[in-house]
Amino acid sequence: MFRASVYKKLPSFAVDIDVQVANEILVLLGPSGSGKTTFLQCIAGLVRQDGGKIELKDRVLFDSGRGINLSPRERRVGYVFQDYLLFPHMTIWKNVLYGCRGKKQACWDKAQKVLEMVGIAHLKDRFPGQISGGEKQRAALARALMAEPEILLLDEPLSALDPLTRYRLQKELIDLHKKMNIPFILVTHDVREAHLLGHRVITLEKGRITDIRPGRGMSVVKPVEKRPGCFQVSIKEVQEQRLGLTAQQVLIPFLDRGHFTSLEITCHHVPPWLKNELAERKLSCQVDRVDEERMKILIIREQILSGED
Amino acid sequence: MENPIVWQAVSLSLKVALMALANVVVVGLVLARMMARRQFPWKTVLEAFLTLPLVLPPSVIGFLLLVLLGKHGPIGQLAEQLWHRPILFTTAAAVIAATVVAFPLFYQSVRAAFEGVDPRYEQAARILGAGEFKVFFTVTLPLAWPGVLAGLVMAFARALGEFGATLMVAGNIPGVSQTIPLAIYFTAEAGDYTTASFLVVVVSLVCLSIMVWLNCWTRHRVSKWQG
Repeated sequence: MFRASVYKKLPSFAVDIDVQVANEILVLLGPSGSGKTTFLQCIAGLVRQDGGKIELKDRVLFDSGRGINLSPRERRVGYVFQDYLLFPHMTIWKNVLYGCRGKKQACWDKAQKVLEMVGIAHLKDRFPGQISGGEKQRAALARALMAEPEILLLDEPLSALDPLTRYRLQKELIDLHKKMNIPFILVTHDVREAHLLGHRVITLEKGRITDIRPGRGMSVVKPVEKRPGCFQVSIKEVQEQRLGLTAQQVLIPFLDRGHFTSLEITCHHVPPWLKNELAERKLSCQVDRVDEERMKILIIREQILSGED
Repeated sequence: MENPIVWQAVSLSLKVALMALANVVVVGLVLARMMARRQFPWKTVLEAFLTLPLVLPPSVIGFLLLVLLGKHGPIGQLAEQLWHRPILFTTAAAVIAATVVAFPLFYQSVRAAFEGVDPRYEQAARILGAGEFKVFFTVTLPLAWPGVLAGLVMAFARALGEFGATLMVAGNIPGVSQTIPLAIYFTAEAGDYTTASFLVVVVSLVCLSIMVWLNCWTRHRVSKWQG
Protein backbone atom coordinates (compact mmCIF):
# COMPACT_ATOMS: atom_id res chain seq x y z
CA MET A 1 0.00 0.00 0.00
CA PHE A 2 1.22 3.44 -0.91
CA ARG A 3 -0.17 6.65 0.48
CA ALA A 4 0.92 10.08 -0.60
CA SER A 5 -0.32 13.48 0.29
CA VAL A 6 1.74 16.02 -1.54
CA TYR A 7 1.64 19.75 -1.22
CA LYS A 8 4.05 21.69 -3.37
CA LYS A 9 3.89 25.35 -4.34
CA LEU A 10 4.64 26.12 -7.96
CA PRO A 11 4.95 29.62 -9.44
CA SER A 12 1.38 29.79 -10.75
CA PHE A 13 -0.48 27.24 -8.64
CA ALA A 14 0.06 24.64 -5.95
CA VAL A 15 0.10 20.89 -6.39
CA ASP A 16 -2.17 19.44 -3.74
CA ILE A 17 -2.79 15.75 -4.25
CA ASP A 18 -3.81 13.03 -1.87
CA VAL A 19 -3.89 9.43 -3.10
CA GLN A 20 -3.78 5.86 -1.89
CA VAL A 21 -2.52 3.24 -4.26
CA ALA A 22 -2.86 -0.50 -3.87
CA ASN A 23 -1.06 -2.93 -6.16
CA GLU A 24 -2.76 -1.38 -9.13
CA ILE A 25 -1.94 0.89 -12.03
CA LEU A 26 -2.98 4.38 -11.10
CA VAL A 27 -3.01 6.79 -14.00
CA LEU A 28 -2.65 10.53 -13.58
CA LEU A 29 -4.22 12.24 -16.53
CA GLY A 30 -3.95 15.89 -17.33
CA PRO A 31 -2.69 18.48 -19.76
CA SER A 32 0.93 19.51 -19.67
CA GLY A 33 1.62 21.86 -16.80
CA SER A 34 -1.03 20.36 -14.55
CA GLY A 35 1.50 19.19 -11.96
CA LYS A 36 1.65 15.49 -12.90
CA THR A 37 5.41 15.29 -13.19
CA THR A 38 5.95 17.45 -10.10
CA PHE A 39 3.85 14.98 -8.16
CA LEU A 40 6.03 12.07 -9.32
CA GLN A 41 9.19 14.04 -8.56
CA CYS A 42 8.00 14.69 -5.03
CA ILE A 43 7.35 10.99 -4.51
CA ALA A 44 10.82 10.12 -5.79
CA GLY A 45 12.39 12.85 -3.67
CA LEU A 46 13.77 14.76 -6.65
CA VAL A 47 11.80 17.81 -5.64
CA ARG A 48 11.26 18.77 -2.04
CA GLN A 49 7.59 19.15 -1.30
CA ASP A 50 6.37 21.90 1.02
CA GLY A 51 4.12 19.72 3.09
CA GLY A 52 2.37 16.41 3.39
CA LYS A 53 3.31 12.83 4.04
CA ILE A 54 4.37 9.89 1.92
CA GLU A 55 4.22 6.31 3.14
CA LEU A 56 5.33 3.26 1.21
CA LYS A 57 4.42 -0.05 2.82
CA ASP A 58 5.53 0.45 6.43
CA ARG A 59 8.14 3.10 5.67
CA VAL A 60 7.70 6.84 5.89
CA LEU A 61 9.45 8.51 2.94
CA PHE A 62 8.43 12.02 3.79
CA ASP A 63 6.65 13.65 6.68
CA SER A 64 6.76 17.42 6.98
CA GLY A 65 5.35 17.22 10.52
CA ARG A 66 8.12 14.98 11.81
CA GLY A 67 10.80 16.43 9.57
CA ILE A 68 11.40 13.18 7.71
CA ASN A 69 12.69 13.47 4.17
CA LEU A 70 14.44 10.41 2.77
CA SER A 71 16.87 11.01 -0.08
CA PRO A 72 15.95 9.56 -3.50
CA ARG A 73 18.54 6.86 -2.91
CA GLU A 74 16.84 5.59 0.24
CA ARG A 75 13.30 5.61 -1.08
CA ARG A 76 13.33 2.44 -3.20
CA VAL A 77 11.18 4.02 -5.81
CA GLY A 78 11.50 3.06 -9.46
CA TYR A 79 11.30 5.89 -11.94
CA VAL A 80 10.96 5.65 -15.70
CA PHE A 81 11.55 8.98 -17.35
CA GLN A 82 9.78 10.23 -20.43
CA ASP A 83 13.04 10.34 -22.37
CA TYR A 84 14.37 7.23 -20.58
CA LEU A 85 17.64 8.88 -19.40
CA LEU A 86 19.64 5.75 -20.05
CA PHE A 87 23.29 6.54 -19.36
CA PRO A 88 24.63 7.13 -22.88
CA HIS A 89 28.18 6.08 -22.03
CA MET A 90 27.21 2.65 -20.73
CA THR A 91 25.98 -0.41 -22.57
CA ILE A 92 22.45 -1.61 -21.91
CA TRP A 93 23.95 -4.31 -19.72
CA LYS A 94 25.82 -1.76 -17.57
CA ASN A 95 22.76 0.47 -17.45
CA VAL A 96 20.58 -2.34 -16.20
CA LEU A 97 23.15 -3.42 -13.61
CA TYR A 98 23.55 0.11 -12.28
CA GLY A 99 20.89 -0.08 -9.60
CA CYS A 100 21.54 -3.65 -8.49
CA ARG A 101 22.43 -3.99 -4.83
CA GLY A 102 23.92 -7.38 -4.18
CA LYS A 103 26.61 -9.83 -5.18
CA LYS A 104 27.99 -9.65 -8.70
CA GLN A 105 26.90 -13.08 -9.86
CA ALA A 106 23.42 -12.70 -8.37
CA CYS A 107 23.10 -9.33 -10.12
CA TRP A 108 24.20 -10.80 -13.45
CA ASP A 109 21.68 -13.61 -13.21
CA LYS A 110 18.94 -11.20 -12.31
CA ALA A 111 19.87 -8.73 -15.04
CA GLN A 112 19.73 -11.53 -17.60
CA LYS A 113 16.29 -12.52 -16.35
CA VAL A 114 14.95 -8.97 -16.35
CA LEU A 115 16.32 -8.32 -19.83
CA GLU A 116 14.66 -11.49 -21.08
CA MET A 117 11.44 -10.49 -19.40
CA VAL A 118 11.32 -7.20 -21.31
CA GLY A 119 12.58 -8.89 -24.46
CA ILE A 120 15.88 -7.12 -25.12
CA ALA A 121 18.46 -9.64 -23.89
CA HIS A 122 20.02 -9.67 -27.38
CA LEU A 123 20.77 -5.93 -27.15
CA LYS A 124 22.72 -5.93 -23.93
CA ASP A 125 26.06 -5.01 -25.49
CA ARG A 126 24.68 -2.05 -27.40
CA PHE A 127 24.82 1.55 -26.30
CA PRO A 128 21.55 3.45 -25.82
CA GLY A 129 22.35 5.55 -28.90
CA GLN A 130 22.30 2.40 -31.01
CA ILE A 131 18.80 1.11 -30.24
CA SER A 132 15.26 2.22 -31.10
CA GLY A 133 12.86 4.16 -28.90
CA GLY A 134 10.81 1.13 -27.95
CA GLU A 135 13.94 -0.80 -27.05
CA LYS A 136 15.17 2.13 -24.96
CA GLN A 137 11.87 2.13 -23.13
CA ARG A 138 12.23 -1.57 -22.36
CA ALA A 139 15.80 -0.99 -21.19
CA ALA A 140 14.64 1.85 -18.95
CA LEU A 141 11.99 -0.43 -17.45
CA ALA A 142 14.56 -3.17 -16.92
CA ARG A 143 16.94 -0.74 -15.24
CA ALA A 144 14.24 0.55 -12.91
CA LEU A 145 13.08 -2.96 -11.99
CA MET A 146 16.61 -4.18 -11.24
CA ALA A 147 16.76 -1.92 -8.19
CA GLU A 148 13.78 -3.85 -6.77
CA PRO A 149 11.57 -0.83 -6.26
CA GLU A 150 8.51 -1.02 -4.08
CA ILE A 151 6.61 1.29 -6.40
CA LEU A 152 7.17 2.18 -10.04
CA LEU A 153 6.63 5.71 -11.31
CA LEU A 154 6.28 6.16 -15.03
CA ASP A 155 6.42 9.68 -16.44
CA GLU A 156 4.75 9.63 -19.85
CA PRO A 157 6.67 6.46 -20.64
CA LEU A 158 5.18 5.86 -24.06
CA SER A 159 4.69 9.36 -25.40
CA ALA A 160 7.81 9.41 -27.56
CA LEU A 161 7.02 6.16 -29.37
CA ASP A 162 5.38 5.45 -32.71
CA PRO A 163 1.76 4.20 -32.48
CA LEU A 164 2.53 0.56 -33.17
CA THR A 165 5.34 0.27 -30.61
CA ARG A 166 3.23 2.21 -28.23
CA TYR A 167 0.33 -0.19 -28.56
CA ARG A 168 2.64 -3.16 -28.03
CA LEU A 169 4.25 -1.62 -24.96
CA GLN A 170 0.89 -0.75 -23.45
CA LYS A 171 0.04 -4.42 -23.42
CA GLU A 172 3.49 -5.30 -22.09
CA LEU A 173 3.14 -2.80 -19.28
CA ILE A 174 -0.08 -4.45 -18.17
CA ASP A 175 1.62 -7.86 -18.21
CA LEU A 176 4.63 -6.47 -16.41
CA HIS A 177 2.43 -5.05 -13.70
CA LYS A 178 0.86 -8.46 -13.15
CA LYS A 179 4.31 -10.02 -12.79
CA MET A 180 5.75 -7.36 -10.48
CA ASN A 181 2.72 -6.94 -8.27
CA ILE A 182 3.73 -3.50 -7.00
CA PRO A 183 1.88 -0.20 -7.37
CA PHE A 184 2.48 1.62 -10.66
CA ILE A 185 1.76 5.32 -10.99
CA LEU A 186 1.70 6.35 -14.60
CA VAL A 187 1.42 9.87 -15.88
CA THR A 188 0.03 10.60 -19.32
CA HIS A 189 -1.88 13.21 -21.27
CA ASP A 190 -3.38 10.59 -23.55
CA VAL A 191 -6.93 9.78 -22.47
CA ARG A 192 -7.10 6.61 -24.48
CA GLU A 193 -3.93 5.31 -22.95
CA ALA A 194 -5.07 6.30 -19.48
CA HIS A 195 -8.21 4.24 -19.72
CA LEU A 196 -6.46 1.35 -21.39
CA LEU A 197 -3.78 1.02 -18.71
CA GLY A 198 -5.25 2.39 -15.53
CA HIS A 199 -7.21 0.53 -12.92
CA ARG A 200 -8.04 3.99 -11.78
CA VAL A 201 -7.69 7.22 -13.67
CA ILE A 202 -7.21 10.47 -11.82
CA THR A 203 -7.64 13.68 -13.70
CA LEU A 204 -5.53 16.63 -12.64
CA GLU A 205 -5.99 20.26 -13.34
CA LYS A 206 -3.73 22.95 -11.96
CA GLY A 207 -2.36 20.60 -9.34
CA ARG A 208 -5.68 19.37 -8.05
CA ILE A 209 -7.65 16.21 -8.56
CA THR A 210 -10.78 17.05 -10.50
CA ASP A 211 -11.94 13.54 -11.17
CA ILE A 212 -11.32 9.94 -10.16
CA ARG A 213 -12.71 7.12 -12.25
CA PRO A 214 -12.15 3.44 -12.61
CA GLY A 215 -10.28 2.69 -15.82
CA ARG A 216 -9.69 -0.54 -17.73
CA GLY A 217 -12.67 -0.40 -20.00
CA MET A 218 -15.05 1.14 -17.53
CA SER A 219 -13.86 4.61 -17.99
CA VAL A 220 -16.79 6.72 -17.06
CA VAL A 221 -18.82 4.89 -14.55
CA LYS A 222 -21.76 5.62 -12.39
CA PRO A 223 -24.08 2.82 -11.37
CA VAL A 224 -27.52 3.64 -12.67
CA GLU A 225 -30.43 3.04 -10.35
CA LYS A 226 -30.52 -0.49 -9.08
CA ARG A 227 -29.76 -2.24 -12.30
CA PRO A 228 -26.61 -4.25 -11.81
CA GLY A 229 -23.83 -3.82 -14.31
CA CYS A 230 -25.36 -0.79 -15.84
CA PHE A 231 -23.29 2.34 -16.16
CA GLN A 232 -24.05 5.81 -17.19
CA VAL A 233 -21.95 8.15 -19.20
CA SER A 234 -22.62 11.77 -19.62
CA ILE A 235 -21.03 13.17 -22.70
CA LYS A 236 -21.75 16.68 -21.60
CA GLU A 237 -19.77 16.02 -18.49
CA VAL A 238 -16.93 14.62 -20.49
CA GLN A 239 -16.81 17.64 -22.71
CA GLU A 240 -16.78 19.96 -19.81
CA GLN A 241 -13.60 18.58 -18.42
CA ARG A 242 -11.87 21.33 -20.32
CA LEU A 243 -9.11 18.98 -21.27
CA GLY A 244 -9.42 19.91 -24.88
CA LEU A 245 -10.73 16.44 -25.56
CA THR A 246 -13.73 15.37 -27.52
CA ALA A 247 -16.22 12.87 -26.26
CA GLN A 248 -14.99 10.61 -29.04
CA GLN A 249 -11.54 10.41 -27.53
CA VAL A 250 -12.98 9.43 -24.21
CA LEU A 251 -15.59 6.95 -25.34
CA ILE A 252 -14.00 4.93 -28.08
CA PRO A 253 -11.29 3.29 -25.98
CA PHE A 254 -13.76 1.98 -23.53
CA LEU A 255 -16.25 0.91 -26.14
CA ASP A 256 -13.42 -1.17 -27.54
CA ARG A 257 -12.95 -3.01 -24.31
CA GLY A 258 -16.54 -4.12 -23.90
CA HIS A 259 -16.28 -4.78 -20.20
CA PHE A 260 -19.71 -3.41 -19.47
CA THR A 261 -22.92 -5.31 -19.49
CA SER A 262 -24.97 -2.33 -20.31
CA LEU A 263 -24.31 1.28 -20.74
CA GLU A 264 -26.26 4.42 -20.74
CA ILE A 265 -25.00 7.48 -22.45
CA THR A 266 -26.55 10.83 -21.81
CA CYS A 267 -25.90 13.52 -24.33
CA HIS A 268 -27.53 16.65 -25.52
CA HIS A 269 -27.70 15.21 -28.94
CA VAL A 270 -26.58 11.88 -30.25
CA PRO A 271 -23.48 12.63 -32.25
CA PRO A 272 -23.39 11.08 -35.73
CA TRP A 273 -19.88 9.75 -35.17
CA LEU A 274 -21.11 7.54 -32.39
CA LYS A 275 -23.70 5.87 -34.58
CA ASN A 276 -21.11 5.37 -37.32
CA GLU A 277 -18.53 4.13 -34.89
CA LEU A 278 -20.87 1.50 -33.57
CA ALA A 279 -21.86 0.36 -37.02
CA GLU A 280 -18.34 0.31 -38.38
CA ARG A 281 -16.58 -1.36 -35.53
CA LYS A 282 -19.15 -4.09 -35.13
CA LEU A 283 -18.70 -3.93 -31.40
CA SER A 284 -20.26 -6.70 -29.46
CA CYS A 285 -23.04 -4.46 -28.41
CA GLN A 286 -26.12 -3.04 -29.96
CA VAL A 287 -27.99 0.15 -29.79
CA ASP A 288 -30.99 -0.59 -27.68
CA ARG A 289 -32.81 2.64 -27.74
CA VAL A 290 -32.15 6.05 -29.07
CA ASP A 291 -34.31 8.65 -27.55
CA GLU A 292 -33.40 11.88 -29.18
CA GLU A 293 -36.62 13.59 -28.24
CA ARG A 294 -36.79 13.45 -24.48
CA MET A 295 -33.70 12.87 -22.42
CA LYS A 296 -31.68 12.05 -25.50
CA ILE A 297 -30.52 8.82 -24.06
CA LEU A 298 -28.75 6.12 -25.92
CA ILE A 299 -28.54 2.67 -24.47
CA ILE A 300 -26.02 0.21 -25.67
CA ARG A 301 -26.02 -3.33 -24.50
CA GLU A 302 -23.47 -5.98 -24.88
CA GLN A 303 -25.17 -8.91 -26.56
CA ILE A 304 -23.37 -11.76 -24.90
CA LEU A 305 -24.00 -10.62 -21.39
CA SER A 306 -27.46 -9.21 -21.70
CA GLY A 307 -29.62 -12.15 -20.85
CA GLU A 308 -31.93 -10.88 -18.19
CA ASP A 309 -34.21 -8.22 -19.66
CA MET B 1 72.10 16.40 -28.02
CA GLU B 2 74.96 16.13 -25.57
CA ASN B 3 74.15 19.24 -23.59
CA PRO B 4 73.01 18.08 -20.10
CA ILE B 5 70.91 21.24 -19.77
CA VAL B 6 68.51 19.89 -22.40
CA TRP B 7 67.59 16.63 -20.69
CA GLN B 8 67.61 18.21 -17.28
CA ALA B 9 65.19 20.84 -18.53
CA VAL B 10 62.97 18.31 -20.30
CA SER B 11 62.71 15.96 -17.32
CA LEU B 12 62.22 18.82 -14.86
CA SER B 13 59.55 20.39 -17.07
CA LEU B 14 57.62 17.12 -17.24
CA LYS B 15 57.95 16.67 -13.50
CA VAL B 16 56.80 20.20 -12.71
CA ALA B 17 53.97 20.12 -15.25
CA LEU B 18 52.67 16.74 -14.02
CA MET B 19 52.80 17.78 -10.37
CA ALA B 20 51.05 21.03 -11.20
CA LEU B 21 48.47 19.08 -13.16
CA ALA B 22 47.79 16.80 -10.19
CA ASN B 23 47.12 19.86 -8.00
CA VAL B 24 44.98 21.45 -10.67
CA VAL B 25 42.90 18.30 -11.16
CA VAL B 26 42.11 17.75 -7.49
CA VAL B 27 41.25 21.37 -6.71
CA GLY B 28 39.70 22.00 -10.12
CA LEU B 29 37.29 19.05 -10.04
CA VAL B 30 36.00 19.92 -6.59
CA LEU B 31 35.58 23.63 -7.31
CA ALA B 32 34.15 23.11 -10.79
CA ARG B 33 31.60 20.63 -9.49
CA MET B 34 30.60 23.02 -6.70
CA MET B 35 30.34 26.04 -9.00
CA ALA B 36 28.39 24.12 -11.64
CA ARG B 37 25.71 22.70 -9.35
CA ARG B 38 25.35 24.99 -6.36
CA GLN B 39 24.12 28.48 -5.72
CA PHE B 40 25.57 30.54 -2.91
CA PRO B 41 26.23 34.19 -2.09
CA TRP B 42 29.36 35.77 -3.56
CA LYS B 43 29.47 33.06 -6.23
CA THR B 44 30.26 35.53 -9.01
CA VAL B 45 33.07 37.06 -6.97
CA LEU B 46 34.62 33.66 -6.32
CA GLU B 47 34.17 32.85 -9.99
CA ALA B 48 36.09 35.97 -11.01
CA PHE B 49 38.80 35.22 -8.48
CA LEU B 50 39.26 31.66 -9.80
CA THR B 51 39.72 32.80 -13.38
CA LEU B 52 41.84 35.82 -12.53
CA PRO B 53 45.23 34.21 -13.31
CA LEU B 54 44.03 33.84 -16.90
CA VAL B 55 43.90 37.60 -17.44
CA LEU B 56 46.56 38.88 -15.08
CA PRO B 57 50.03 39.49 -16.53
CA PRO B 58 52.44 36.70 -15.53
CA SER B 59 54.65 39.22 -13.78
CA VAL B 60 51.74 40.28 -11.56
CA ILE B 61 51.09 36.66 -10.64
CA GLY B 62 54.80 36.20 -10.05
CA PHE B 63 54.91 39.23 -7.78
CA LEU B 64 51.86 38.17 -5.77
CA LEU B 65 53.32 34.69 -5.33
CA LEU B 66 56.63 36.21 -4.32
CA VAL B 67 54.85 38.07 -1.52
CA LEU B 68 52.74 35.05 -0.45
CA LEU B 69 55.53 32.49 -0.59
CA GLY B 70 58.29 34.75 0.73
CA LYS B 71 59.79 34.60 4.20
CA HIS B 72 57.24 37.08 5.56
CA GLY B 73 54.30 35.85 3.49
CA PRO B 74 51.64 33.63 5.09
CA ILE B 75 52.41 30.56 2.97
CA GLY B 76 56.15 31.06 3.27
CA GLN B 77 55.90 31.25 7.05
CA LEU B 78 53.73 28.16 7.20
CA ALA B 79 56.25 26.21 5.13
CA GLU B 80 59.04 27.46 7.35
CA GLN B 81 57.22 26.08 10.39
CA LEU B 82 56.35 22.76 8.77
CA TRP B 83 59.54 21.87 6.91
CA HIS B 84 62.03 24.48 8.17
CA ARG B 85 62.84 25.33 4.58
CA PRO B 86 61.93 28.26 2.34
CA ILE B 87 59.75 27.68 -0.71
CA LEU B 88 61.12 30.38 -2.97
CA PHE B 89 63.65 29.28 -5.60
CA THR B 90 62.83 25.58 -5.23
CA THR B 91 61.06 23.12 -7.51
CA ALA B 92 58.02 23.49 -5.26
CA ALA B 93 57.83 27.19 -6.15
CA ALA B 94 57.94 26.29 -9.85
CA VAL B 95 55.12 23.78 -9.30
CA ILE B 96 53.04 26.38 -7.45
CA ALA B 97 53.56 28.95 -10.20
CA ALA B 98 52.60 26.42 -12.86
CA THR B 99 49.56 25.34 -10.82
CA VAL B 100 48.27 28.88 -10.46
CA VAL B 101 48.53 29.76 -14.14
CA ALA B 102 47.22 26.41 -15.39
CA PHE B 103 44.30 26.24 -12.96
CA PRO B 104 41.82 28.59 -14.71
CA LEU B 105 42.14 26.74 -18.01
CA PHE B 106 41.25 23.41 -16.44
CA TYR B 107 38.63 24.90 -14.17
CA GLN B 108 36.78 26.74 -16.93
CA SER B 109 36.73 23.79 -19.28
CA VAL B 110 35.58 21.37 -16.59
CA ARG B 111 32.95 23.66 -15.18
CA ALA B 112 31.45 24.14 -18.63
CA ALA B 113 31.56 20.36 -19.12
CA PHE B 114 29.80 19.72 -15.80
CA GLU B 115 27.16 22.29 -16.62
CA GLY B 116 26.64 20.53 -19.93
CA VAL B 117 25.73 17.27 -18.19
CA ASP B 118 21.97 16.99 -17.87
CA PRO B 119 21.42 16.91 -14.09
CA ARG B 120 18.58 14.47 -14.63
CA TYR B 121 21.12 11.75 -15.40
CA GLU B 122 22.45 12.32 -11.91
CA GLN B 123 18.93 12.18 -10.52
CA ALA B 124 18.31 8.93 -12.35
CA ALA B 125 21.45 7.50 -10.77
CA ARG B 126 20.41 8.66 -7.29
CA ILE B 127 16.99 7.07 -7.65
CA LEU B 128 18.77 3.84 -8.59
CA GLY B 129 20.47 3.99 -5.21
CA ALA B 130 23.81 5.58 -6.05
CA GLY B 131 25.56 7.77 -3.46
CA GLU B 132 27.08 11.12 -4.40
CA PHE B 133 30.55 9.61 -4.98
CA LYS B 134 29.22 6.92 -7.27
CA VAL B 135 27.09 9.46 -9.12
CA PHE B 136 30.10 11.69 -9.66
CA PHE B 137 32.54 9.03 -10.80
CA THR B 138 30.17 6.86 -12.85
CA VAL B 139 27.85 9.46 -14.36
CA THR B 140 28.95 13.09 -14.11
CA LEU B 141 32.65 12.63 -14.78
CA PRO B 142 32.32 10.17 -17.70
CA LEU B 143 29.67 12.33 -19.37
CA ALA B 144 31.81 15.44 -18.89
CA TRP B 145 34.97 13.60 -19.92
CA PRO B 146 35.63 15.33 -23.26
CA GLY B 147 35.62 18.70 -21.50
CA VAL B 148 37.71 17.35 -18.63
CA LEU B 149 40.24 15.91 -21.04
CA ALA B 150 40.41 19.14 -23.04
CA GLY B 151 40.98 20.96 -19.75
CA LEU B 152 43.71 18.51 -18.79
CA VAL B 153 45.51 19.01 -22.08
CA MET B 154 45.29 22.78 -21.98
CA ALA B 155 46.37 22.93 -18.34
CA PHE B 156 49.27 20.59 -19.02
CA ALA B 157 50.40 22.66 -21.99
CA ARG B 158 50.07 25.86 -20.00
CA ALA B 159 52.02 24.38 -17.06
CA LEU B 160 54.69 23.13 -19.43
CA GLY B 161 55.00 26.56 -21.02
CA GLU B 162 54.92 28.66 -17.87
CA PHE B 163 57.69 31.25 -17.93
CA GLY B 164 57.14 34.61 -16.26
CA ALA B 165 55.83 33.71 -12.83
CA THR B 166 58.21 30.73 -12.58
CA LEU B 167 61.18 32.95 -13.30
CA MET B 168 60.14 35.35 -10.55
CA VAL B 169 59.46 32.83 -7.78
CA ALA B 170 61.75 29.94 -8.70
CA GLY B 171 64.56 31.57 -10.61
CA ASN B 172 66.56 29.81 -13.29
CA ILE B 173 68.45 27.08 -11.46
CA PRO B 174 69.36 24.09 -13.66
CA GLY B 175 67.84 20.89 -12.23
CA VAL B 176 65.73 22.83 -9.71
CA SER B 177 63.68 25.37 -11.57
CA GLN B 178 65.08 25.64 -15.08
CA THR B 179 62.20 24.30 -17.13
CA ILE B 180 62.16 24.13 -20.94
CA PRO B 181 60.85 27.68 -21.52
CA LEU B 182 63.49 29.11 -19.19
CA ALA B 183 66.19 26.99 -20.79
CA ILE B 184 65.11 28.18 -24.24
CA TYR B 185 65.19 31.81 -23.13
CA PHE B 186 68.58 31.63 -21.46
CA THR B 187 70.32 29.46 -24.10
CA ALA B 188 69.03 31.74 -26.86
CA GLU B 189 70.14 34.75 -24.83
CA ALA B 190 73.60 33.20 -24.55
CA GLY B 191 73.70 32.66 -28.31
CA ASP B 192 73.35 28.84 -28.13
CA TYR B 193 70.80 28.56 -30.91
CA THR B 194 71.36 24.81 -31.43
CA THR B 195 70.19 23.92 -27.94
CA ALA B 196 67.36 26.45 -28.05
CA SER B 197 66.01 25.21 -31.36
CA PHE B 198 66.24 21.59 -30.27
CA LEU B 199 64.12 22.39 -27.21
CA VAL B 200 61.69 24.34 -29.37
CA VAL B 201 61.27 21.33 -31.67
CA VAL B 202 60.75 18.99 -28.68
CA VAL B 203 58.06 21.18 -27.14
CA SER B 204 56.29 21.76 -30.45
CA LEU B 205 56.22 18.06 -31.30
CA VAL B 206 54.90 17.08 -27.88
CA CYS B 207 52.14 19.68 -28.04
CA LEU B 208 51.21 18.82 -31.62
CA SER B 209 50.94 15.09 -30.97
CA ILE B 210 48.80 15.65 -27.88
CA MET B 211 46.40 17.82 -29.86
CA VAL B 212 46.16 15.29 -32.70
CA TRP B 213 45.52 12.46 -30.27
CA LEU B 214 42.86 14.48 -28.44
CA ASN B 215 40.97 15.21 -31.65
CA CYS B 216 41.06 11.57 -32.77
CA TRP B 217 39.99 10.33 -29.38
CA THR B 218 37.03 12.70 -29.10
CA ARG B 219 35.75 11.67 -32.53
CA HIS B 220 36.17 7.97 -31.77
CA ARG B 221 34.42 8.20 -28.46
CA VAL B 222 31.34 9.93 -29.83
CA SER B 223 31.03 7.46 -32.70
CA LYS B 224 31.30 4.53 -30.30
CA TRP B 225 28.08 5.50 -28.54
CA GLN B 226 26.09 6.17 -31.66
CA GLY B 227 24.76 3.65 -34.11
